[in-house]
Amino acid sequence: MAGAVSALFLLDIKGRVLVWRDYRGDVTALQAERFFTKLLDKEGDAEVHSPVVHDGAGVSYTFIQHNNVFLLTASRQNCNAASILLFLHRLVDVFKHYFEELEEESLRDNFVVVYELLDEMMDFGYPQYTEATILSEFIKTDAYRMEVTQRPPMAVTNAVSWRSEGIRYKKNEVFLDVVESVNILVNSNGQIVRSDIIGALKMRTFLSGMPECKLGLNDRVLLEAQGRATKGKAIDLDDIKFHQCVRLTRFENDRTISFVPPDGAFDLMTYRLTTQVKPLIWVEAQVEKHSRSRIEITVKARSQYKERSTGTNVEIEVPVPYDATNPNIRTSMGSASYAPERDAMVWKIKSFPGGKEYMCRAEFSLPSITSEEATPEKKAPIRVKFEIPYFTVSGIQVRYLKVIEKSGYQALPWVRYITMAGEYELRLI
Amino acid sequence: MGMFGLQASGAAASWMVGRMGTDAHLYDDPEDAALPALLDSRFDGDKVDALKRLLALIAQGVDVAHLFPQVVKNVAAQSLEVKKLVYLYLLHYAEKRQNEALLSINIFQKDLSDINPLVRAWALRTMAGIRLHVVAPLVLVAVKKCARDPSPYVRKCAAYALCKLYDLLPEENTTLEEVVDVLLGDSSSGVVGAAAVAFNSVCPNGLTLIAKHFRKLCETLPDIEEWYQITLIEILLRYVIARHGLVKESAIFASNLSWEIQGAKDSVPVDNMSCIQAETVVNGVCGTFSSMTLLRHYIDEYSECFDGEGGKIRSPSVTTSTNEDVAILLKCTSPLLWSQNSGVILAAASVHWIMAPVQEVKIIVGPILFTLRSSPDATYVMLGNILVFAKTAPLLFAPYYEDFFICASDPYQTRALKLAIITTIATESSILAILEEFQDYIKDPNRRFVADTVAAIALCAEKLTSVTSTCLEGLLALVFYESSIANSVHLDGEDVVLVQAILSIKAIVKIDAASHEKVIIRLVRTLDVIKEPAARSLIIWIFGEYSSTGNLIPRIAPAVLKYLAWSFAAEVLETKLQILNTCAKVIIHAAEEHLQEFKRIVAYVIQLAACDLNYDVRDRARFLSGLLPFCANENDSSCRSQNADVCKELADHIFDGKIHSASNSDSNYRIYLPGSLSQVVLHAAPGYAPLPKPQSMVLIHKTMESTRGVANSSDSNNSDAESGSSANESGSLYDSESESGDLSDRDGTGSKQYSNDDGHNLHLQDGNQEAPLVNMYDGSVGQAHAGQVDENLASLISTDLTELMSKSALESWLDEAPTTPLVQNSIQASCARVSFTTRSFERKPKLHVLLDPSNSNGLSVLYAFSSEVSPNSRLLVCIDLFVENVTPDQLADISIKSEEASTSEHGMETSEGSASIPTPVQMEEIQSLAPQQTAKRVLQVHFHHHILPMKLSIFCNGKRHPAKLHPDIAYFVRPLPMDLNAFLCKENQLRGMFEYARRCTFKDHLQNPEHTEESVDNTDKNLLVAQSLASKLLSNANVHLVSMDMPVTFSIDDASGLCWRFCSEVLSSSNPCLITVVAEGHASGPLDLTIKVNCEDTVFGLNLLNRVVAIIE
Repeated sequence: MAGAVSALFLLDIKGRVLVWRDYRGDVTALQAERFFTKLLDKEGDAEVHSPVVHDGAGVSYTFIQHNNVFLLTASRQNCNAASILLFLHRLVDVFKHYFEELEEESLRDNFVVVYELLDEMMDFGYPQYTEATILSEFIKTDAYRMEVTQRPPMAVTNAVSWRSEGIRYKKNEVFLDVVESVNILVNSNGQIVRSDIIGALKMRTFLSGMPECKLGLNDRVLLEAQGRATKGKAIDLDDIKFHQCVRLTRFENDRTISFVPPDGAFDLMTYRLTTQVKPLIWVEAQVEKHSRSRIEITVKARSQYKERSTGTNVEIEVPVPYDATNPNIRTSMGSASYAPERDAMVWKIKSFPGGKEYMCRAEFSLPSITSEEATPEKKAPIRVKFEIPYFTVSGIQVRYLKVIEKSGYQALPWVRYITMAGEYELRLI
Repeated sequence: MGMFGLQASGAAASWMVGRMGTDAHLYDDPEDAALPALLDSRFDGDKVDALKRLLALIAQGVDVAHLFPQVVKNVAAQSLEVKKLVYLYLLHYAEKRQNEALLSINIFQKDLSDINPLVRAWALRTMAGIRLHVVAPLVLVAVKKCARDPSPYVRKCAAYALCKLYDLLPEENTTLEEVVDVLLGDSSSGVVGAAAVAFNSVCPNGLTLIAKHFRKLCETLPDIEEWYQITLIEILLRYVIARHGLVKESAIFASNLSWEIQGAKDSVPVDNMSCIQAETVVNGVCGTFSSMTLLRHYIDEYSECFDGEGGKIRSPSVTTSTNEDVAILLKCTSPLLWSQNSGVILAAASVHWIMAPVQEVKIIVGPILFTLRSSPDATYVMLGNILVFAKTAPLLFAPYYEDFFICASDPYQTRALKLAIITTIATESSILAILEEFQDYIKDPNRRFVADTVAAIALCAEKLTSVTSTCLEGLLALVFYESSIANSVHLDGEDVVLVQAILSIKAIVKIDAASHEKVIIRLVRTLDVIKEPAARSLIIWIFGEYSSTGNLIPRIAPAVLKYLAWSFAAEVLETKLQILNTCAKVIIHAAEEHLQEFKRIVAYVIQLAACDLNYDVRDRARFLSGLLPFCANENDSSCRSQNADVCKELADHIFDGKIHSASNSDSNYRIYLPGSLSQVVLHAAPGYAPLPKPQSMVLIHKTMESTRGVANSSDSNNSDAESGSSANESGSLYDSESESGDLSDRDGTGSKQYSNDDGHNLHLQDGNQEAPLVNMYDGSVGQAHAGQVDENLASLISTDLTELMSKSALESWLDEAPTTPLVQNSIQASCARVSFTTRSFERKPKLHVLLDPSNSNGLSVLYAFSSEVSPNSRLLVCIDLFVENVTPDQLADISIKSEEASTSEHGMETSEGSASIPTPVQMEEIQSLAPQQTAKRVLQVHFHHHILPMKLSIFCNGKRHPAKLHPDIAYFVRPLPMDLNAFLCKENQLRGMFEYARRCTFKDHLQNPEHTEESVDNTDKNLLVAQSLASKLLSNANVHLVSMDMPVTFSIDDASGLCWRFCSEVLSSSNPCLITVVAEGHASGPLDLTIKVNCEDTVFGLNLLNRVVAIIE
């Protein structure tokens, strides 16, 4: 049974209450603050904590951290933990929509709006409206507050709760970004133990009226159902998640993605492909200990995508011993520096064309006290970040994006593709 | 994705310029301005400024309640902004400033008919949110109206207001339920969603309400907002289970049966445990729930499913997946597995998990795994739920083991969960890949995680025998490696991996020690290298445990033992103790050939230990030398011959005890429904409800059909199939309150039946100390305490006996166990209605003079009727006597006797003969009373409803003093706790000739004005009136306050409508006696009261009425 949240707190990095909203009157700010500061003191680092804690006195706390702000709910009832966490993330999204970034300062600057939002997003501890676009229809900031007569959002009275009627744009445009992130895990033997692709169709709509959109992808199931030839172009979407606007029953019946889009930016769908992919950037490192006091690391990075694509903002993080000093680093491309706070060397390459291989050599001094063989062999993986524009690993393609509105305007769809690294770890060191 | 991020926010940014607030100065210096002046300003801008500052102060934890009056005035403002801010303030403080908050009610009422739906909705939301009991009835009216508002936004607010109202007016639940019903049928999906939330608050067990909406709700499900989807899915699932039962082909049900056939509780592999069955059985057995009431309810609910025949679920409570409702539910929830909201996915998945046929459950796997790709904190929650799924059906997730491989970025909590899942789902085909992966984990910088991995290896090795030897080799290598590190590097917590590795080896070896003896030998050999005491102790333990196992170990045993003896002196405490234990074990199992050698070594060790510095070691040495006499003292042959056998046996028991598999933690593992918070914190949070009893709903339908005449064809089909428990029973299963109500009813009727005749018998028996019968009572009491009295058992015993047993049980309970919870219940109920009943009214009993000292040579006796119930009989009235010696001399031999009846020692016996004469029970004599000393005695009198003064003789120093005791009919009753509903119900039954009313005036509240003056600001006058009357009546009559209703008025002075309800039970007949007092007039003047008594005993009722009037006037 989904219970309700008793109160919601926005706390600073030390766990002190900045703003709070009491929904049910059974948990006090003092109580929550005391518990949470104690929790922070005890563990030092909120990272090591599970996001849901029980205080032993009947109150469960659920929290997330965003910048220097903790968002915390206290509850005496049995809630749906997953959905509360999600609600907190939505709260962050809404705050970001309202004041661009959520941090302690922006909360202070906008605390009145925060109160209003908290009042509207949750009632009696149950989540309500969490779509920023809907909320901004009736919770205005100062500049707009006095001008408009306030009405409940039209959306509430519509069949679709995420879009209001009467939206007008001079130029009707839709932007669709297909963003794929590659997660890969390579073990110390060089085998890929796990790889998947998480893709997101991020949409920004600037459309008038109540448009009906229909999206066509090179989805194998759909193409085969339509009896079209699938010459290796089709892809299998394993797991899919849709925005609420997509008609799920319709998709279940005939794999058509049809929807009335919300206004502005939203994630239309996310998908996951578990097909194994070749690591787009392969990194190997060799460590040589020349004497008791000197360590030499050679890193080789190779791009394994087609030459016409170019990786950008490549960042390779190679772990080095925690007691290394005196870095001496040379690279064949880009720049590398020692990041002692991460116990790593970070090698950055602005532009990395396909089919190329670059090298980086680094030398560090080690304290000579420890005997060579006894140094515990503890290893963090090599981590890689990159972006490859105009390219998708999965081969997904937007075949069409139709926009139909009763006024009959022509909408321009813009589609772009990008691939980036997600959890990209190679334990090759 | 720099370039993309920038563009994504670009469009929004254009109109967000200027949205950035500039309220920080208000937040930082909120008291920078004269707030009261600003609040009284004519300009909305000033007001807004002041209100914002107030909000800032609230946020910072400053109490600004003192400005309440000034703020509330502004609720009437035209500006929506001011209104909104005032509402926010009101919501925060209304509870503390009830009277002022009432001032705003008029405005709310006005706003409720505003043309702007936003204003209507806000007014309703705030009005319901300020949580004032006094306002609650008004809110109820408003909610009923708003539930039919043209704007869905307002209707939605009405649904939420229902939740808030239910907290304030739980007794209005039927009305609230009707509104929920209306809203569930709403055409707007947003309203339906909110109605589902309201349903969960107001009538979570009223699943019958869902029946007629079921199809429509299923169809609406994909369209309603995600947050509501979660709630609605749960409701629909509960409905289908309650209506049709569990699905026979489902994974849960299948594993449930197989588990039950296996039987024994301890030997169950964790893997086979299923969610539901674990809830019912595991929790039931271990009973470590924090909330015992929940547990009891839980077991009750399921005890019927698991009836006598081997604990199998009765077949009628099962349906098939072809059932139409089940099919619809599955169909409408499966698209939701594509939701963006992981809460929705989990809710939808749990429907399939519980209801879908085994072969179709796997559709939930992909979506669930996908949720792991959302935020890290959500991942943690999802993993916790996956672990439960995996433990139940490991094969479901087995192919996806790679998804649980650990990334360097995973926080520790996540890693631990992933490890647990991997270990659970590992199979012969995946284990090699998993072990390879584990090898990487062992190099991780986080030592705690490495230790966890080592433990996981052992679990895998135990489970999958094909890799046992590989794992052992690996672990041994790890031991060598770690010990070499541990010797060179000395860091804190460094040994955790080493110790865990040895623990893991120990766990694996345990399965089949003989076949792993080489491993043991190699491990023992590391003793030379390993210096960590904890690790050494473990290895020594392993050696001791298996010293006689296999062929090789016994051969090296002498050498090892010598080594241990040699190193003994250098060891730390725990290792020394372990060596001593090991010596004992070795010698017990020693083969004949080595025995002499062992004896010498062990004797040497014991001698060393006996001289140790540490007394624990010396103690152990002494203990061992007593237990193994042949080692300690070889000369003492007599001792040996006599005690050897005994010692041998003792030693065997102590050292050869079979290791109990420590799987307690597993069976203690509590499992809650998927997605619940309880599942994450492993603690039954309030509001957590297990699934309803399968097919428990059908009969409720039957009664509903008969009463309401609702015809539903599919219902009747099903209800025909059902047989067995009565409608009353199945109804009570849903609702703990109604159940306890039933129980109390049963007790009540029981006491009525037995009180008159059998009460006497029992007291006789008590007096005569009939031992055997008393024993019987105890037995039955104990049994009854353990749960519901087993009816089967009862029927086996002869009827006479059961009668006796139940009587005794009832009788002995009535004054103790059952009444306490009942009293609590009723207090809760009444305080829910009117908050101020929580102030416990002091009963100040009035003292009357029995004997004036001037007439009795200085002996003063005062008496007061006591609200205590006599421990001897329910017919006796207790009177507290305060005997005081006001003379300067000692008084002696004070006793009290009745003049009319010859008071006998047995009290009740004689009363049988002369039934109509008031008879006191013989009271203990006061031997002597020193000057100025007071003695308190309790006089118990059986008044037989006589209200004429009872003549008593008081003897003192041998002199007789006549005295008169005036009986007080107000104490011929005793409090009968009941809630308002029960009261009103009873009142309806006692109309006409059983009802008497009189009018009188009440002026008491005017007499102590100084008391009212000091708190006039904060306290309602009506409240004072209500309190003074209630406390007056409670001080003078032995009654129970059921409720006090306060009128809702705008004139503070107007007390019309104040209503008190008291309830009591006539001592002699146990008939309930209800007193209702209704006031008219003004709180500042005399109040006209109408007092009404409803009682079956008409004469008694009239007398009581007169007495109550006398008390009040």
